[in-house]
Amino acid sequence: MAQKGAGNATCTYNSQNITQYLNTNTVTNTIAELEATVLTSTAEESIAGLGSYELTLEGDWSKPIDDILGPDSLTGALRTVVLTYGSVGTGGVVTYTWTTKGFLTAYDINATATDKIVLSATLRLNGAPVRS
Amino acid sequence: MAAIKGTNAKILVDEFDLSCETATVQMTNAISEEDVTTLCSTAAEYTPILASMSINEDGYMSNTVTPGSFEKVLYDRMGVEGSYVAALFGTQDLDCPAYILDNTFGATMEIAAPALSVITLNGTWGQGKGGRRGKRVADATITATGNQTAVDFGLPAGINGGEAYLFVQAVTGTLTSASFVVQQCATVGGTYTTLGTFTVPAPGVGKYKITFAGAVNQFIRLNAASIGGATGIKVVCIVCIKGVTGS
Repeated sequence: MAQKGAGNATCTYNSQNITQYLNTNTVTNTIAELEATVLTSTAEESIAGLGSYELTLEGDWSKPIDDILGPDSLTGALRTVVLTYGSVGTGGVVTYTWTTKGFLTAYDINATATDKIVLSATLRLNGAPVRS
Repeated sequence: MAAIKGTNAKILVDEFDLSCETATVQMTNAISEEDVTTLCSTAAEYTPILASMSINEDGYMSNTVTPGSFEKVLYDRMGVEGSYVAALFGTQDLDCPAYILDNTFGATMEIAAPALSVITLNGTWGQGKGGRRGKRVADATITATGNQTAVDFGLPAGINGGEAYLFVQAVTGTLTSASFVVQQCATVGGTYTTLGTFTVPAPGVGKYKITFAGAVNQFIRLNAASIGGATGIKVVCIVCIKGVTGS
């Protein structure tokens, strides 16, 4: 059974639960594909390299979330990031933890007269997380 | 958390408030990263390098003859360093966050004139001497000496100084020289001391900056020490504290 996002995903940044300020969080692990095609290949071949983790956050902008992300967006401070997905009663919860290994690589605030003020942020998550 | 409508934002360029000719303002901080993955890594690793701020505004060609028009302000500053550009978000609160480009210049300017729509103007302000993040501590027309409301910058307090920016947008009366003092205190109702002083000579309208060093207390306010013969001075003051607001 699929689980809805609302109520079943959390994001903690630098020990502060920022879930309430977000409407989307997306964590991506991209495995580097290392070219391995040889002259006897009948199609392109590759081997798997290392994974690379990135987290994107989107939400309605507000002063409390800006006070958390704004200062770090100018310094690149390394912070602990914890993500959880799922619920205890429906299939369990998985937790990914990067301890002092996450930093902002982009922070964007957009205010349009006919819309609301929105934010987006991208974080680099160094290394593999602890999955529990 | 309730959403905040986009009209609760402002864009200031030196003495000009371009908000009423701007439809969208966007602030972007980007931090470059370098790959530092080693043979012991279990996944890719990176280290942050330097931040880069930019402010973009999209608006309208509505008034090209007035000195404070979006088109005139941007055109005059294309490739010319020395401006302070501030994007303020959540302006329904006095102490809203403000992102400032220090000593910036107009980097891009695009005018589009479609036959079936209005003429639009899009502009980007360059990195200049770097981006700052601060809080607005005053936005008022000051008609007498005295204190503005103190703003709480939170704890822990700063230890490495910071900067303050004053945008003087309008002056009425006959100004000789005014002075505005940025004051600090550990408690909101305590005795405030001076962090720095803006001196605003005639004609007054313009942008001003002061820097200060050392410890900075939690509460900060703007004090009008003298309005120098003017009957009203419209100001916006933003204070950035290193290590606290992101300066």
